[in-house]
Amino acid sequence: MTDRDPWTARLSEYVDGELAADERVELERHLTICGECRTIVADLGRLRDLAATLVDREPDRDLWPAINARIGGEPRVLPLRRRWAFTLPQLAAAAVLMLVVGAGGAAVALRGNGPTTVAGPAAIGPVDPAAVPIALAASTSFDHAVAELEQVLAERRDRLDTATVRVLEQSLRTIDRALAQARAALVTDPNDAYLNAHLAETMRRKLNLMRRAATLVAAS
Amino acid sequence: MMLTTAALALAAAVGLQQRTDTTVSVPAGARLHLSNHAGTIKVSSWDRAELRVQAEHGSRDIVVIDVRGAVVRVRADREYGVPSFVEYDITVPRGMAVDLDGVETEMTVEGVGGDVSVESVEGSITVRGAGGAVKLNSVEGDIVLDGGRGRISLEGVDGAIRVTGARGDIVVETVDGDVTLEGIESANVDVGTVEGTITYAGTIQDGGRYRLTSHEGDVVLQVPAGLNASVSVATFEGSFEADPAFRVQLSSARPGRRFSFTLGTGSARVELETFEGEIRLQSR
Amino acid sequence: MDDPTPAVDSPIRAGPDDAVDVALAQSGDTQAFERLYRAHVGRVFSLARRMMGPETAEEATQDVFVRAWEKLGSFRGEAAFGTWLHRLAVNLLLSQRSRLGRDRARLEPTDDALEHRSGRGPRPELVMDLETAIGRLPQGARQIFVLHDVEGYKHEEIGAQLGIAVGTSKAQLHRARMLLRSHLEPQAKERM
Repeated sequence: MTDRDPWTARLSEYVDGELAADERVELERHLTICGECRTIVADLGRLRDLAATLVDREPDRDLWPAINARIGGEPRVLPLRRRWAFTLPQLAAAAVLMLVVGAGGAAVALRGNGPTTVAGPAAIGPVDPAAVPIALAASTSFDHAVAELEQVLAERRDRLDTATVRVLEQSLRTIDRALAQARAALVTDPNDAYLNAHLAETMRRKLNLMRRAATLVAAS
Repeated sequence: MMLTTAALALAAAVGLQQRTDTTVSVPAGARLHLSNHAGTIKVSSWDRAELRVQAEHGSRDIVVIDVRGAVVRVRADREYGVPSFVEYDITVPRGMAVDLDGVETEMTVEGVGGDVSVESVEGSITVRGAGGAVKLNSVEGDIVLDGGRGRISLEGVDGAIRVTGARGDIVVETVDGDVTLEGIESANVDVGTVEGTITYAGTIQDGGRYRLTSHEGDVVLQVPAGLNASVSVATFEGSFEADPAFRVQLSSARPGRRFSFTLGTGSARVELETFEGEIRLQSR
Repeated sequence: MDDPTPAVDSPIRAGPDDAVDVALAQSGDTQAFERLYRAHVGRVFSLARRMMGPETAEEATQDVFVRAWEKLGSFRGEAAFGTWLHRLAVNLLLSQRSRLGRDRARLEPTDDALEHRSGRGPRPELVMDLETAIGRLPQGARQIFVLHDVEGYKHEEIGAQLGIAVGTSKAQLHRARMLLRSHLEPQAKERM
């Protein structure tokens, strides 16, 4: 492939519409007399269009287990980074689905029929996806996580100061009211973008609050 | 330059109430870690390369100051049980970074130039004249911040939050409590509350992003009328009103639940959302 | 890169499903993150395959999702999750060295295949599909071709991302296109 023709190097820019007006006029004049350049221009345009139609495809094998193994032990930086040392056997003994988030907070572990599937003594290990019920939709898994966290907190609320418990419960009630209102609104208008985002945001707030409460319980 | 490890334990004499007063040298760039269960903490600064710990505590408590490399740890110990009520008055070198942690503790930090991080369960947090990044986290108690540069992150559950004179990226989250921001210079503001009114009184910088969201509370923006912003408003059962000075052009007389409008060049992005409160745009 | 306009009309899921799953994943719900993975892995894997080559695409895809998990806290919903994920993928893939495993035939101007072809008919193995041909481009030209023609980034964005001048980006793009052209339409070559 030789570049004897000085215009050859500029043909891509021409095809992409990036030449200045005067250069474009000159090139188009050149194209009227240069068949080779005309051919290249046509080919480059076809190539560019072909590139824009490439189809995405998924990998042959499922990469999720490998990803899951790597993120299970990944610490996420959270505000209460000091108070993360759950004693997992203790909490697992409550036979609950807990919300656990790496070394910085809590992680998700499901206790199935036998001992907890979280690996390691008092360690935050990866979640075994096989132990988690498959058919949970987003909202259901949220409700599940919240219900079980509530159980953990109910069983251990005596560890916290009564004033703190009162504050946490009151704030949880505030969020629950907000959640109920958001859900009711969505029934009337399920596709509204604001309502969907607002519900997701409020759910995140509730989980965040429960997680903070759980770490307070663990630290006391 | 620094002590590799030096733990200074101050023995308690006999008596119901004990007073500790100790000053130690600290290296430049050091950080203070203070953990307290119940009591009060007051931190102020001076121009010396020394850290002074004054504390009033029970006679069975020992105040331990541990200087290890660039970290100064201060805490109260007792042989059995949790230390009783301790009142700390600490003076640190002006540029020091401060990290406080309390359960039932009121905390005040003044004039500290380094980063400030405070966590409390029950107790108000007041930080004034902060020169660096600020991270404040409280469950029950008001949070007051005056100053702050860089990244400012405030998280409360039940309590009002008030910020003045901060410069940097600001993130504020609380459940039950009003949030007021005044005199802020920031290009990145994100405030969220469930039940509480949000008031932002400050400038809106070109190219900045400002997001104020509440569920039940009002969202009030008090800004100069000549600002350049693309404003998006969303509410379910709430209302919106704007001062005539803004000359807001809406496409219909009664806008729907979610609408947007442009002020000036539309440079900044402003998002105002409340599920059932009022959204008010006031000029100042 | 601030706001890339994808050349491909790719199925980026930006519906309410993503918003809820993102919120849950941000709170540590790995099941929710798995759903996000399933929704977006095709797009990420294809990008990784084109930029890094088929041998390392799977590993690179994993790296992207692990990084996305780590950085989830910083996603505040300014863009669709798919857009944010895509930007993160491009950044990560560019920062990794291309590890193509073995020495592949490169579509260089002095490619043996071209010399052998002169005077003879087109060889079947040269008529390859575009995906394979992209995989055989030299790394710099390949990345720029993928970013510009497949993913739809502009030269200014590519220059900023790769730390090269806009002129260099344009030259590399042209080089990539010419190399690809010569191997997708050998008849065209013979006309010259």
